[in-house]
Formats: sequence, C-alpha cells, structure tokens
Amino acid sequence: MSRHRKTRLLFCSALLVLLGILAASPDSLKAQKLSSSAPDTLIHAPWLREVLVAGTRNRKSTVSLPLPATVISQEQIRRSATLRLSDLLQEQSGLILQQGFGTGVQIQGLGPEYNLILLDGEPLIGRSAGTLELQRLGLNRVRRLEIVKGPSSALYGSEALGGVVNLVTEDAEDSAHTWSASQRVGSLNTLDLALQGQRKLHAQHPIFWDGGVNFFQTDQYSLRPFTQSPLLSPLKRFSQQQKMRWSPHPDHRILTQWRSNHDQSESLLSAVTNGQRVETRGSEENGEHNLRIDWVHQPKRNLQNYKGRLRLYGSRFDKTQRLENDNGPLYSDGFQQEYLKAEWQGIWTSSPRSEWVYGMGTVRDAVRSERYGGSSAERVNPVWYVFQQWDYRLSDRASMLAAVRFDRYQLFGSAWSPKVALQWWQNPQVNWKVSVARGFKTPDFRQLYLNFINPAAGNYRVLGSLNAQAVIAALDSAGLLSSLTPQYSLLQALRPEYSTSLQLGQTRYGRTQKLDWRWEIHGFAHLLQNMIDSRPVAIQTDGSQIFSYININQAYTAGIENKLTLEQTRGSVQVGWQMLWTGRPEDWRRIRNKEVYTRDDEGFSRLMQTSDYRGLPFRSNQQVQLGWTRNFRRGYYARWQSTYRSSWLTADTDGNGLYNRQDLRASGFAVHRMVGGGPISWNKARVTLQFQIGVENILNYRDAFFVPNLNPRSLFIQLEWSPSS
Amino acid sequence: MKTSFPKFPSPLAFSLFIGLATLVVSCKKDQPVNPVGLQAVTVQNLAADTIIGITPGVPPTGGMPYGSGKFTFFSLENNAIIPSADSASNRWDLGFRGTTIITNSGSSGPGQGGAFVWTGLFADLKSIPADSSLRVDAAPNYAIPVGSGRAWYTYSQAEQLVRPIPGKVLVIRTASGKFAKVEILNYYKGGVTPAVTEPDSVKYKLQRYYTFRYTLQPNGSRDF
Repeated sequence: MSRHRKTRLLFCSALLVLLGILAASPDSLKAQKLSSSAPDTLIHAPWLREVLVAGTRNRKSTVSLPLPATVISQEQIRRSATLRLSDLLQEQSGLILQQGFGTGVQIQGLGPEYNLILLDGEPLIGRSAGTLELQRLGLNRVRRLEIVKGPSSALYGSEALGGVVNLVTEDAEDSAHTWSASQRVGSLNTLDLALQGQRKLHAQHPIFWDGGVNFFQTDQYSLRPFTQSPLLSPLKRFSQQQKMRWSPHPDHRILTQWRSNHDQSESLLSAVTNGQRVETRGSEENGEHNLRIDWVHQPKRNLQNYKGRLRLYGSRFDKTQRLENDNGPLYSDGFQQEYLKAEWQGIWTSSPRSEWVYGMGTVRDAVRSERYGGSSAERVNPVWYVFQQWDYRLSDRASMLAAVRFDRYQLFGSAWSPKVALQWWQNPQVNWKVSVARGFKTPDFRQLYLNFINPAAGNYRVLGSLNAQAVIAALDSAGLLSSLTPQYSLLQALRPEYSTSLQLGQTRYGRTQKLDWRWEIHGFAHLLQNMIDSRPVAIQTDGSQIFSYININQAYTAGIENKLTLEQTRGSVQVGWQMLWTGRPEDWRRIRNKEVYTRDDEGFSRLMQTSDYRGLPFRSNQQVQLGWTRNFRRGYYARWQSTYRSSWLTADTDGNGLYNRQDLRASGFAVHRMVGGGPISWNKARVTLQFQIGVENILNYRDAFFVPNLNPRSLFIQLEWSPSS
Repeated sequence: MKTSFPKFPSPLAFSLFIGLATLVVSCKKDQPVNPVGLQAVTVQNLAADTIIGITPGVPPTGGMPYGSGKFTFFSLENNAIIPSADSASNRWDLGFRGTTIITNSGSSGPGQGGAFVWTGLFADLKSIPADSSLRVDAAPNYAIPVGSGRAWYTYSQAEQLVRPIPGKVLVIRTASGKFAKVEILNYYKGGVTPAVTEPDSVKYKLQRYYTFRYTLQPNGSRDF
C-alpha cells in the first residue's frame, strides 16, 4: 500500500477512533434522561452570546450553527489591543498568516486567494495578485469579527473556499449618545489616533449616526528581498467610517455606510554597486472607498415572518507603486478596481421550525492595470446569481442547513455551489456538526489578462489565458517564435477552480462550579480541482519562455483542529491546536511511478522516496495558540498570547517540481505578546479614562528572510477617553 | 513556425526500449556488454564566464552582473580546459558560459558534436538508446536548451540561485563523434550552493563555477 493511502487511512481512522472515544463517554448515558428538553436552552452564557451573521446571512449563535465558526467580540478585540486585522487573525486558532504579494490568511490549509474577507457582509477588493493585504485593514469601529471555516460559496460565491472572515462594524443605536477618543504611542514610531461617536441627528426624526476617524502610522519593517538588511518602510494610514440609519416608517429602515481607507508607505533602498552608492526610493499608495445603501423592509403587522433587504454596494480600490532613483523614475505600476453590486435578499420564516433565505443579485467587477493591457483598457467580469438557503429544525435535537447558489459569469460560464450541514445534540453537553460543501473561485484578472515581460530575468513572458493565443500568434508572424510546448494545446478559456469539502466536528460544553468550558474538536478535508497554475506554453527565438495559465492542478488539505475555551469571572484561557496535511495527488502518483528525482548529501541524483514528500508550500504541519486572560478587581486585566507555527517549505530548490525534505524550509517559531490595562478615572458610575500597555514579540524573534514583516520587540501605551454625555 | 518539439518517450516506453536494447545487445556475444574500466570523472570549479562587474544602477534597469562573455572550452577526452584560441577546432567538446552549455556542433563549432537531455539516474544510463536523436547547436537554440526548467537547471528569481535539476543526464557526442554522459552537480564555487540568505554580492561572486561528473566511452560505442 502506498504511503499516500496509508497517510489518508491513518488520518481517517485516527479521526474515527478519536470521535468514537468521545462518543462512548459516560455523558451519552445521561442523554436518555435529558432528551425531552430542548438542548439549546441548557447551553448557557457565555457561548450563547456569540452571535454571527456570516454563517447563514441571518443572526445565529455559534452554538446552533452547524458549521465551524468563531466569533471575536468587541471586548476581546479591545483587550487584545491589536490595531490591524492581520495581527488579530494571527491570534486565532487554525489561522496562519501567509506572505506573498502581501499578507493574507491561510484557513484550513487554503491560501489567501481562497479565503473571502468581508466588511459587513460585502467583499473587500484590491487583490492585485490574489492576496488581499490584511495589514492595510484597521480594526477601528469593528464590533465583532466572525470567522466561518469551510466553503461558503453557497452564500457568497467566488473565493469562499477555505473560509470567510467578516468584519462587522458598529451600528448606530437608538439610545446611544456617546463619543470617545484614544491615542496610542509605541516603539517603532507608532502613533494611533482615533475619534468616534454615536448620535441621534434629528430631534423629531429617527435618524442615527455612527462614525469614526482613525490615523495610524508606524515604522514597520519590511525587507529588501533576499538580503539580510531589514528595511524601515514608514506607513501612514488614514481611515474613516460613517454609518447612518433612518426609519421613515416603522416597517422600513434605510442604512448607509461609507468607509474609506487611504495609506501610503515608503521605502528606501541603498545599494553599493561598483563602489558607488545608489539610493532608490519606493512608494506605494492605496486608496479604498466602500459605499453601501440598504433598504430593509420588516413588516410589523402583515407578513410578520418576512424581512427583505435591497442592497447597493460599491467599492473602489486604487493602488500606485513607484520606484525612482537619482536618475529619475524607474518603474511605476497602477491598479484600479471597481466593484458594483445590487442584491435583494429575503428571509422568510415559514414555520417555527423552518426559515428560508432567498437572494439574487448582480455584480460588475472591473479592473484597469498597466500590466493587464494598459491603464486605459478596462477589464470587466460581470456576473449574476441566485441563492437559496433552508434552515430547518428536524427535531429538538437535530437541525439542518441546506443551501445552493448559482453564479452565471459572462467570462467563464456558470458555477453551482451546494452545501448541506447537519447538527445533532447527542445530549445537552455534546453537539455534533457535519457538513459537505462545494466552493469555487473564478480565475482572477491576472490569470486572464496579464501581459508581463521580465527583461531582468531573460525576457520571459507571462500571458493571461485570454491574451496568450493572440500574443503568441503575433510573435509568430513577427518571426520571434521558436516553438510551442506540449502544454500549448491545453490553452483554453479558464474555468473556475473548485473545492469539495467535508467538515466533521464535535463540541462539548460543560460547567463546573467555578467555570464554563467548551472543547471543540474538528476534522476537515478539502479537495481542490481545476486549480490554475502557470506553465511554459511557447519558446521564443531568443530561447526565453512564454508562460500562461492552465486549469491543471489538484491538491488536498486535511487536518484536525482542537480548541479548548475556559471561562470564568476571574479570567479565561483559550488553547487552539491544528494539525495539517497537504499535498497533490499528482505528486504522489509521480513519486510512486519513480519519475521524481532529488539529490543525496553528496549532490548526486537519486530517486525520491514518498517519505521525502512534504506536500504544499507555506503550510505548517502544526499550529498552536494560547491565550490567557486574568481579570483583576476594579476592571484591571492582563493578557498573554502565544502563537506557534511549525516549519514550512518555501521553495522547490532542487527543481524537481514538488516540495520535499531537501527543499528550502523556514524554521518554525513562536511569538508572544502581553497586554494589560484598566481604568484611571471614574465619573460617577462610568469609567472615563482607561489605559492599556503592552509588549509585542516579547522574546524578540527575528527572521528577516522568511518572516520579514514581523516587528522586533516593541512597547506601546494607549489611553482612551470616553466622557459621559 | 516549427510546431514540432522534442518529446521524450514515456518512462514505460523507455524501460521497454532499454529492456529490448539490452536483449539485442546481449545477443551479440562477441561484444562486451559493459566494457570494464569506464570511470566517472568529476570536474570541479570549472569557471564559466564568472562575474567581473555589475551594471550601474539598481534593478530592474541596472545592477545586473556580467562576465567577459567568453566561453570556457573543455575537452572530455583529455579532461582539460582548451584555450579560446582553439575555439574553431575539434579540440573541445563542451563550452560553458553562464548557464549556456554548447557542444562542438552546428553553429558552435566544426566538430561532430551533439547532445540531448536524458531523464534518469547517471548510473542507470548504461546504453544510449539507438533511436535517440542528438540535436546540434543552432544558436540561440542549442542542443542543450537554455532556460530555467528546460534542460539541466532551474533558476529561482526570488532566491537568485541556479540549481541543477536532479535526474537529468546530458548525453554528449564529442567533437570526434564519441559518446559521453554528463551530470551537472553544482553551479557554485566549491560545489556548494550558497545559502538563500546570502546577499546578492556573495551569490554573484560564487556563481558560474561548474562541478560535474562525466563518463566517456572512448571506443565509439553507445554503451557505458
């Protein structure tokens, strides 16, 4: 039996045995007595407070959602004292930051391009090379963060394969009339200023406003690629958000949201060549606007079981990168994206057991880029879609979620995304969740339209699949083409990438006199098909290669995640541990067929063994999270957070086309941070001034090569002033 | 346009062929199947147009390393470097310049040279398949193709390193028409690829030094 099958079998049987042991515990004996009562009612705080909308497009607690989900509350975000989305995600179990064209997040082993980042349910744009830069995103005005793991294409369409991260921002509340201001200073020249408030705008009309402005600057580290000298690249960011709510009629609400984010970073390279110092300045500017208008219709008298929402959403993203030295500009690159969406969604509760969500919409996604045929050529990818979801309670102990979505793309045909999820209460303490779903990702603009020549490295070209044949034919008629490779015949219109995923998990809830606890154990497996990869398709007369994109690869990721949460008034502990296995079926086949070679210690070629194989790059086999919070009297607290990831492979250095033991490996590392805080002054019943103080990267772990933007040890102090109104 | 491209037979076809060839060869009892005494020779630190400077400026417009642009000629038969003055002679078999390897054939030289890339282990290449076609140089399309992932090396732009691909054997026909097999082992001085974390200046200084091993069959047969 092959090692591949062995590994899979071992993994599956380990999972089954583990789950079997859990199922056979004495708790199941209690099930008989307790079965008559609705289990949900026995689940108590704090878990029921974890409510999210990303899982079903409707409010639902994590306890009753049949999908693996995490909710991070505003209080947790505030106490973690993180300023950027990337920093907050790094502290979550099973989530790993992945570098490459920006900092993105890896969920269940699927990379940044397969995970969807939402702002109040709508996608954030600006993936210039597949990755949405999470360091750009601040956490100001974020009320909670929702993470749903596993495919959610049945609700959100493309890119929701590994998971969905939803940033839910503060809403304008009826009664609130508050404002607050905060300031943080820290090492690396960090300064963060924020001002926010909520108000009723009109004395007679119910118009409410919530808004905030935020300025952030830091001398973050980045790295001149592949040198040991870290490079200080100062970043400045200004962001603001305004939300308004107006109820012209008790049945109707109009919600508007305008968010903008503008950041600018600079870098200075200095290189000594031929004894002469040449200084090169680089700069990057990103501008982003999001505008949303919702009309919510929720009848109070007739049709009480209906809630409809018409939404218009638009987002614009503008990126400019420049490089210049004393002789003038060297390089400039622009990227603009415009995303316009209109959507209707209706929620209909047909019976106390049954809830339906219907929706339809259309999106116009357009990009202009110098690399995609010049900034004047607009590339458009229109789509329309319909979806439906049925949330049905089968019995007091079991419920079901079934959803399907159909997307019709003008450029690549259509995609069906079904999902079925079940949950079953074995007894009031033990809950099982299982789901099967399909996710998809459309080819991105780069894969369709890129036209890139690299004169610095032998004039190789990369062509988007829609350009490739025309450009190659033009080169041929100009006499510049030498030959075509066998892969040329595979060039055709790109189709979406698909994943099929299985999620199986058990959650146990418990309570002792002193604490509440929850233990989640969760297994997952994804099979990605039709994956797009670049391949050489032709060779030019100067010997340089032409690459293009082809639907060619398959890959799998599978793993087990364990999460233990202990809560009590004195504090809380969270432990997360994820094990991950990844690979490509094709690689296993080639190794088994003795088609793959590597090198022995003396540098001579030898056949590769299955034991040399290490799966996909940038995947750590183990990830561990530890969070510990201690509450003291009068509102003081201290918090410790540790994150560990094991080593991962970064490059195929022996050139055999797959990742094995002999390839380039980044070593595993742990980072620790500590935060504490509490009140400084009170005004009657209210705290008006609070402080937070913290140390990031306590042990000062540095890896300038593989983790270039991990900041060295740094300190910060923050003051927040919220006067009573 | 040449739509044809060199296509390697599948491994199955290869094994079948080698099996058959062995059968055929072993039928001729008067010829030794494996001539005794053929030894692999290892050549170390063969300088191949090493870096002598860097263009002014910084990437992408400048900062590119360059050498003198001259090939280093090597005779497999004599295991010796041949002076450039003899470039138009039959005295050399292989020429090295950066990642380009030429054979004494076609546009490169007057010899009967030629080459093709065989996939497999050096020791497993016991007999050159009879139907294999050796290509000749027609600059810039050399018998040993130039380019990352095309013949014997990969170049990683991110790491700025050249590494020979394991399991690639260069089958060479020498200037005088004899056969040899060559495995490139390393591209850096001392036969050790620098660490990825080394600065560019170190990588430039150490690159373009070949370490390779070869076996020459002096009797003109295709067996090793």
